[in-house]
Amino acid sequence: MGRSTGGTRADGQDHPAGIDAAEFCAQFQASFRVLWLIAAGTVGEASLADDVVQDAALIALGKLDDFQPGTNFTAWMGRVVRYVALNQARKERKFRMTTGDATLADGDTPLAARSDLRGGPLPAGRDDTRVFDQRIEEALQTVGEVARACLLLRTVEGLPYSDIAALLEIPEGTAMSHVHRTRRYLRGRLAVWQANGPAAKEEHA
Amino acid sequence: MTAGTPERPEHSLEAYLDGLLADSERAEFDRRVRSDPALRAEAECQARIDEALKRLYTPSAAGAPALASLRAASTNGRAATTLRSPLSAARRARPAPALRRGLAVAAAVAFCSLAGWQVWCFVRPAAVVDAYAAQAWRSMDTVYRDEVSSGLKPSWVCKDNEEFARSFEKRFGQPLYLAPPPSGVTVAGLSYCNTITRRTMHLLARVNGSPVMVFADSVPDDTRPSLPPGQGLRLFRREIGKVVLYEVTPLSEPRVLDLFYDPATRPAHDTTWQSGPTP
Repeated sequence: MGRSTGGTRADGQDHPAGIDAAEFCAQFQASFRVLWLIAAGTVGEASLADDVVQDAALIALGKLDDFQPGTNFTAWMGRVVRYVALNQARKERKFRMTTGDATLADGDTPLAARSDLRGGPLPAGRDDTRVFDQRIEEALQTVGEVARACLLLRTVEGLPYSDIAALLEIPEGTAMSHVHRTRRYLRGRLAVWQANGPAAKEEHA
Repeated sequence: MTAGTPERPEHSLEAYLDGLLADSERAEFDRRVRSDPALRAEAECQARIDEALKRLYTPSAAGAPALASLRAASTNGRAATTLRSPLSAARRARPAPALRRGLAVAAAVAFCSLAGWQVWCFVRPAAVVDAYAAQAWRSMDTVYRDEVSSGLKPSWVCKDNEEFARSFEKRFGQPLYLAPPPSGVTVAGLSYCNTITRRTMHLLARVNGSPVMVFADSVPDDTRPSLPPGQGLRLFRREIGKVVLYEVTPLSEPRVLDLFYDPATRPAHDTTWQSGPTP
């Protein structure tokens, strides 16, 4: 009980039902952190990730029969999350354009150095952690969504590259390259910030 | 960004920071990091960035209510829109038509599954979710510091060596026993963390009063972790069958790794120690 009966699909063959709601909830909970990171990486903002994952879960709940038993649940759900997150990112861009807030930009040129770097020495003490985090967050918003998702899955969740590749449907080498290049890019951005000094910060502020 | 192979990771700082170097290469790179201030600064900068990423991109506590709401919606057919957070509602006062159709379908599906779910609850115990799977990823040195600051309190104390072995067999498919600790070594117990993988288990011990931890995971899942320089900690690695063990210690040599043994091969020990970053 609890599993739906499946049905006949376009290929004319009968398929068993994919996954029932109870199993979905259990697997969703187990995969939540990874899905959340895919959402945060794709949409570019941690504050939107909860909503994206929720929306994706509701969509997936309506498509439980699409899940193929024996396949990777997180990869299947991750695809839905990416779809929802990309839509959300597009909406956010439109929203920001219409309201004049253009801080989210440049998503397609991930590692291009931007000329509008704001500066100041890197904070050293714990009191300046917030400033440091803000700079990292700003820099990450100039990185492409796939690279950002790769970086978060590797750094925050410690996933192996094979898993990241499967989740994001990219080659393993590409996932590794995204992570390494993005880390190098972030260090470069911080170095530029540090070199520009307070004067540069004031000039661009 | 274009697809392609990574750029010579075997020789790059990225590979070093990523734990992708072979032991000999890592040891060589450790020496370079210690002797090259610029390289050390890069490594420390990356460590700060990684810590910032973990602070910035960790699911908030608000994620838990979302899960609870999802369960509720899937079982009682409650309108899916009630899952919306205030932030979401403010950003999107009116969902797109396609999304509304999706939500309606989801609500209908959830409602229809109510009867099945209720019966399911009677005939099957609630799904057991690994309590440790939801832990946030932490590096070994972070786990070490956290455990030390909380007083080395284990999650589980095995009542005997058989139970200890079963813990390893259940988790990694390989039973491991622990030889009687020599004088000066006390074992507190086992805890669990998301470090090498989500299934990493670690042993808490003290050697002459110094906290020492041994992290265990499956060999195929080994990510070859390393410790950041300048932490005053050393990392030693050992493989026993299907299990890889890492001892994190402030001491100059491993004192607990050698206590582990495979009951099938006792008393022979594979003592191919491999030294990691040094203070």
